[in-house]
Amino acid sequence: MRITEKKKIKVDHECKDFPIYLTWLNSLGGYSYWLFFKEHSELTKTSLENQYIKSIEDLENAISTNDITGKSAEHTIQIGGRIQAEDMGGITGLYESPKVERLMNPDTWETDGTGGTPAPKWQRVIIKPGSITILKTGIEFLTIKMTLELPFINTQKE
Amino acid sequence: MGLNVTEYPQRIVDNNPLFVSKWSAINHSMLFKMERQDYPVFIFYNPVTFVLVAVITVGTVIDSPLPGDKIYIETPNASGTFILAAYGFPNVFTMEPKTWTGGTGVSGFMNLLSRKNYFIRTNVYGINENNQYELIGQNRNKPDSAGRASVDVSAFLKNIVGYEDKFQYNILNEKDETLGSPYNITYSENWEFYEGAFSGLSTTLLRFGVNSAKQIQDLYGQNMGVYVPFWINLLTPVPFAKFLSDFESPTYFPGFPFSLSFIYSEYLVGIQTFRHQENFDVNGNSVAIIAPIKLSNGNAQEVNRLLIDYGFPSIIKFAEVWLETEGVIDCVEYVQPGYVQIGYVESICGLPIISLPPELGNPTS
Repeated sequence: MRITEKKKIKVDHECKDFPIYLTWLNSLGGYSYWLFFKEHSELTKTSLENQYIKSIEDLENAISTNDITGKSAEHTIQIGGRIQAEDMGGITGLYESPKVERLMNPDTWETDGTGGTPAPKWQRVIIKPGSITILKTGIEFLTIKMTLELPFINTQKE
Repeated sequence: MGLNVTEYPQRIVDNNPLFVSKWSAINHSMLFKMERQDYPVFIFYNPVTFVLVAVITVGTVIDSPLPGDKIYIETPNASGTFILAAYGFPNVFTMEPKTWTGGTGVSGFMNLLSRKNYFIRTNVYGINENNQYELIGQNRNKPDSAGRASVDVSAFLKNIVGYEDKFQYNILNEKDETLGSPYNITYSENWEFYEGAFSGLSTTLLRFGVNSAKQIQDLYGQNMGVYVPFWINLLTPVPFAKFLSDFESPTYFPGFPFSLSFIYSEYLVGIQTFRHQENFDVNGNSVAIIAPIKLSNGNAQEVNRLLIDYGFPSIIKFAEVWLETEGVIDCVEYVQPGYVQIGYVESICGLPIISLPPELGNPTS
């Protein structure tokens, strides 16, 4: 006797360049997945920590008049694509999820474990808040863009 | 009488009392409504003298009520607070004159408001990896003037779920403790100079929290009844439980990890449950029926991850996946605490026995 719905799972056989595979905790308490590909760019954004003027005693050998104590850097990835309207419910779930992870070993996860077993390696990312269009009547595909905030880059500090 | 739970965080599904969902979304309140009823009483009221007499019908007074103490009385039609005029040992309470509209010769209950600093202590237990209760929090609640209180346990359960995908995608189904947790509660009455004993803790019947967030006007509110698979017998049709996916039709990208999440409910403990899968081509024609494969029953009573059969040739455009059972008994192995051998497992046909926590008299494993 059947006790659950019949869940339809679409299979996407298309080859994907530059894949970014995300999983997230959806609002129902399960995990969902989506593969973004091709259309993305990675950025680094830096900022100075503290800048100060040096007290120079030996002008002849000084290498600068001012310096900084350190720099902070964070990487972001802009992803996007054309999403079928019927998938926007799930993509909305991704945009609204507080817990999103990115697959870091997409080419080798199936054999990275002990004895060649699966061992996906996930890294927490944050979807930058904002707004995206989730419904447009009469449109079969919606174009979306999101920014993933990656973990901070560690740098040397004085 | 004493203290009773009058309402649990559960819902009847499909208007059928056979289908009770005890699975709640932990990001909302999960309320146990409790009612204090110190003594069942029979009320006699004289409308001429306005004197009300309450006679305890069952039980013994464990306090020492004195004239001047406040008494709360409630019957099906009326309620009120009275001042005790005289106490006739062992069970007759005569009140100071006061108007009463609840009639005479009626049954109700009486609360002694002379119990100072009355509060309810609720212990919330999760289940550890050794299948043993583990205290995860304690609540203190003061009931309102009518003796009613709402005890919310959701905050404690939020502390024991997680937010990291640790599934290894190498087993058909596996419980994911980050997605939810079974739990239970015990409670006791307390007031000045009195510490009551806790209520019993079932060793088999549990309640469940899911790391989910429902929306206003969702069916069954904060209860996850739509997602709970039920099984009664072969003659009783059941509502089809939904999988925990925010896609109407999720997409599988070959070569990447994928699983379905679902509630492996207590209704399926001890019986064989199978994953079914059928593959279709672009025209919706059935191309392959995958042989049913039996789920690991020891993972029941938790939110589970479920693998699909990934062997999709390029002509397959979509698959349908679902769960079935015929109710055949499936004895499963559970870790049993209290044995010398670490990780000792025992085969059990039916609901697994949850060991009581050390504070209730059971040794730790």
